[in-house]
Amino acid sequence: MSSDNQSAVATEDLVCEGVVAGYGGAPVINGVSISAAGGRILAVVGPNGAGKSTLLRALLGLVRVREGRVLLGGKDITNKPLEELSRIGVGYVPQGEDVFDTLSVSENLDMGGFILQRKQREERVDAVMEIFPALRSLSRRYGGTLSGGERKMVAFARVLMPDPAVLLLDEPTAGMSGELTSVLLEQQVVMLAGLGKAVILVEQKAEAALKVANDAVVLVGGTIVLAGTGKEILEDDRVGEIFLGKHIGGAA
Amino acid sequence: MVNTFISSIGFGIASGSVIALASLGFTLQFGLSNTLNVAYGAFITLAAFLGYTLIALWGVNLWLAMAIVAVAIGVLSGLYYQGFIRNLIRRGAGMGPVTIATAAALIFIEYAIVSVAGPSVKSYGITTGRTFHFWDFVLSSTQLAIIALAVSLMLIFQVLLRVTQLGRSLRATAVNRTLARSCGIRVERVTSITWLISGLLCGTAGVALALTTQAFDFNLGSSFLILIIAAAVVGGIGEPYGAIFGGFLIGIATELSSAYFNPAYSQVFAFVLLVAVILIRPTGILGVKAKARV
Amino acid sequence: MVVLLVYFGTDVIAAWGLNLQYGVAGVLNFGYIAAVAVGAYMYGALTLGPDSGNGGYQSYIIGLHLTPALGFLGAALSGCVFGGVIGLLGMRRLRPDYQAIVLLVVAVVALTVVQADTGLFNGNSGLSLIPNPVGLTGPATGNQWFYVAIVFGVCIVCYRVLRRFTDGPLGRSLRALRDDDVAAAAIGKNVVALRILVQIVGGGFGALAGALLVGFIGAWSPSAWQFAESLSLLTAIIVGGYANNVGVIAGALLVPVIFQQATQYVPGLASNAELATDIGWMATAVLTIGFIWWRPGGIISERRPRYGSGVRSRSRFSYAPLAMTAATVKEDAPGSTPSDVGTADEVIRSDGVAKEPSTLSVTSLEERPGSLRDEQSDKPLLTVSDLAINFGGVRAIDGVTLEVAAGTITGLIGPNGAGKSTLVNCVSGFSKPDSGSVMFNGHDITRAPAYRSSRLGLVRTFQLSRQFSRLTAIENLLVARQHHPAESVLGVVSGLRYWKGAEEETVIRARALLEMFEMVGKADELAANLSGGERRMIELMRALMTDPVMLVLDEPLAGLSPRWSERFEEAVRLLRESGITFLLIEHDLGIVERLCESVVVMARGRVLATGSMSELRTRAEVQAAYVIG
Repeated sequence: MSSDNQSAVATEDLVCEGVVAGYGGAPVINGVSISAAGGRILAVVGPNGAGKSTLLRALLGLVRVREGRVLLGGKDITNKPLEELSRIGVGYVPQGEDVFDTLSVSENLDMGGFILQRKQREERVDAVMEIFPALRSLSRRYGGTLSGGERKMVAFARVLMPDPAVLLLDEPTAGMSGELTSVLLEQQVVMLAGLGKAVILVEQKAEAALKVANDAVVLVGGTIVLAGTGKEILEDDRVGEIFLGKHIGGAA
Repeated sequence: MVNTFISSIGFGIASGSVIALASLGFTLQFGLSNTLNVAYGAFITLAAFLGYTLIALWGVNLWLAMAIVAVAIGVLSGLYYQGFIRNLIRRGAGMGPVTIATAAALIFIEYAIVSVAGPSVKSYGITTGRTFHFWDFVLSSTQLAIIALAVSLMLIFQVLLRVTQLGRSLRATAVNRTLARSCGIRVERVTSITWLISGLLCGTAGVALALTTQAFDFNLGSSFLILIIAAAVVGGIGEPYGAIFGGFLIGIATELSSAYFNPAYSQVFAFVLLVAVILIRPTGILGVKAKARV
Repeated sequence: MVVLLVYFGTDVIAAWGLNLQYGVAGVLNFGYIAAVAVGAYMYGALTLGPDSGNGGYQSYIIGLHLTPALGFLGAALSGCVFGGVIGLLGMRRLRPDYQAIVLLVVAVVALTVVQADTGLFNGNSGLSLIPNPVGLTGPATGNQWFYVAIVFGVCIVCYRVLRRFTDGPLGRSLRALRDDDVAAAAIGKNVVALRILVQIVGGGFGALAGALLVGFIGAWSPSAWQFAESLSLLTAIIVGGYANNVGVIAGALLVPVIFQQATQYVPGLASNAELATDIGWMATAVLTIGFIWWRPGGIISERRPRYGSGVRSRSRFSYAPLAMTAATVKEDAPGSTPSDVGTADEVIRSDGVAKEPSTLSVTSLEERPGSLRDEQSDKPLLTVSDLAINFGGVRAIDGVTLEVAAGTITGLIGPNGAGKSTLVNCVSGFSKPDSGSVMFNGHDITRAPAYRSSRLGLVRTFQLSRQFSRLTAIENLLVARQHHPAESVLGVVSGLRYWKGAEEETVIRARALLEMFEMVGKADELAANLSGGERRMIELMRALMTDPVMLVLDEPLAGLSPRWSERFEEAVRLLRESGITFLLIEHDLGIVERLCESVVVMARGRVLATGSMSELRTRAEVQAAYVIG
């Protein structure tokens, strides 16, 4: 899919071309190309087992890319290990184990700023606290004791510490109530993009994700079957069929 | 009687400090790489013998020798992890085969030692020097020095853990490897360095152990291995504080039982404690409750 | 030469015992040597006379001066008892490395006690002057060979006994437990009991080996039998062939040979026997590591049993491929004989395919006590009352109450993290709830271990599908058969003839299931080599093999192609019609709507609402909790 970034490739752009990846055996991702631009949210939706999480992991070097390329700001980062990617501006919020449970919130933020110098880190902590003021009261609490919404906030704060250019979010609203989902996506994730970051949002809750997405792709069985702007996909009747009437409203 | 009790505690602290030091090294390996490295005992023996070569045969100063041995074992331990353990795991060996492989490594190293050094019992032959009287027990200056050294090393380690970048990255890696990586932490390097540090602790403990037991042979490491494992498990595997706590507990328990019961059975008491902890509270006294396995 | 042969024979027996524990059942027992020691001491106790001048030993214990045969028997029995004690102590659901530690510690404790205690065990000097069974003092060669014959005779007997445990359905269950003890519990295997069993049997073998050895040598010193000896047995197993009885023989042959041969090639060792021993041990260690590194399966790998597709005798059951259009279900009336089975009774051709696709009949060999089909009651089959569980301060389940009516398909939906899988774990016995209760079919299973719920008919599958990797696909199914006569005491004692019929039946059922899901071609493939989707199908089929009363399926469709999803959906419907109740966790709301009469919505550890899918769609709080649309 070509996004509206035909012009100069900015450093925030994360692009992958024809990626084939899997765990060994048949590939799970079969020739996927996406493009994420700074300041925009790219939603990756699809039924369970479509390979959404696997795609993210392939971009991050956690799953081996067999064919195709992944480019960050034009530079080839295919199969680079996650720790190196994290040092060049790629932020990752995994699904599930997204905070250090046995460390305090402030220690979590510290870890997020691991690659920074002390002074820089302190500045970033302040900056991040500005973005998420509720964190101030939570700093001493241990990661494992937080509620779902609090955890995600800490996870987002942690990933923002090194001020990455690209953010890969793996089902951030998993396990959340509808209300919380809306708040998270419509306020927090939108805000992340507003900071100029390129956000790739993998979501199971397609409708909620498409509402906030600038661009979207629908992934089924490891390939992209539909692509367009968030609005287009949201209103596309075919999507309902694709999901077999499961996830998109009004598909009855 | 009070006298026996206090003196046992005193001796327990002396022996416990060495066990704690050794156990700290062991728990780092177990906790970070999830490997039951049986060969740790062989490294202890190796340390003791290297110390012997330096101190008794070449007349090197005790403390200098200890430092040299610590570094040697540290380097060896790091290489052992990179060349042996890591590759075994990469080749898909499960926990059983890896443990057996480390046991084989133990046998190899210990019999290599005995083939070179002979089966006779060795001793550093260090005269005990001044003695110090504490309440009802007597400690030699060497023993005191060892306690001081062990405690300082453990304190330094804890400080390292909290304050340095390496320490922080170790804590993060131990808690959540992938998340640590996404913070930019180079987890492989951290793991190798941790094995190196555990080797340093092991080497120091090995020489200290040889000093405190006066006479030792090639079985030194394997006979202490279970005490070391006991200390680590009782305190909470993977938890540095746990290993230290466990070490002192085991040391004191061993001394108490040998004071009040048949000394030959002193270790048995420690083992019973170990089994009890495993059965009742597997995460150890200071450990954290784990989630369900399924 | 005599010496070598006797050592070889006893090594084989000991290695077989250890292989049963480790290679077959997956229990790593570094302390195995303790069993050998027990055998040696017991033999000494039983055969020494009261006044053989052996220090304190025999005069304290028994001094029975029994015949050697009884001595051997007694020793073997003592090994079994020892194994039983160890088993009860250490074979709980511990992490495998903790289990290994416990076993090692017990052995070390035992040896320490023995070495230290002079009164009872004569300390480090151990035993001596044990009467040689061939009953004489001089090394007359003829009689020594007789001892070799005894040893080999015992080997043969041991081999036959061993096969009762390592082969057949019991061996299969042990191997399943080795590969995945959680999945084994889910199909009703009493993991702890099985592990205790192998400790008992293995202990007996070890003790017998010890007795034979001490009978030959005439003396035993604890210091000669330490940790290294356990390792050499493990080496024999790893080198020869893990979980393979014949392989172990090869290993037991090879290891001492290597040990000795290695020393031939090192110069200057001829005079130095001690050094030779040391080098020998080093060579053994290198050998072990080498095999683990390059050939973990050993020289002769684990056998992959195949089950022929031909069926020689007609059996009670007939299964045929599922017809995709209307299918009717026949039910076998309890107590019917083969001739009563009606048109569904197609004889299966020798290539395993029925003559015509007809019907699917789901029958069971014996009616499960209190089974649903006997009693038509209005009470719900499964009742969960106010269940709660905490994980480190977080209330994963916070007072859940729900009911599942018999013969229904109930859906359980909710966003990720709602606690659905945790609820399933609590209900099926994999997690112990902190409060509340679970009643199933009249039984209180709140605190019941997993295998017990499975045996009562409540079987679950896993979100991340589990399989027995080193069993073939069809073995994965066969092992799920409940109440296999081979896995009873009577079965072990009576042998193949006793359970052959049941096994054949099980094979037929398994093949029918494989056909239904079009996986017959993969029947003899190791589960580890199957694709993700195939493994999930195997797991489903395995659950079906248990002939459950209620199936709890945890996201069974994840990773399945649409084609298989359809077949699965169809199978669920048919199975429900034959009386199986379902609790289905799914994200695919379309399937939930089509299949489930009743749906329970969970969110954040609580039940939010219950009703039919269409009702729930309209409710605001459900919509809010989970974007349904």
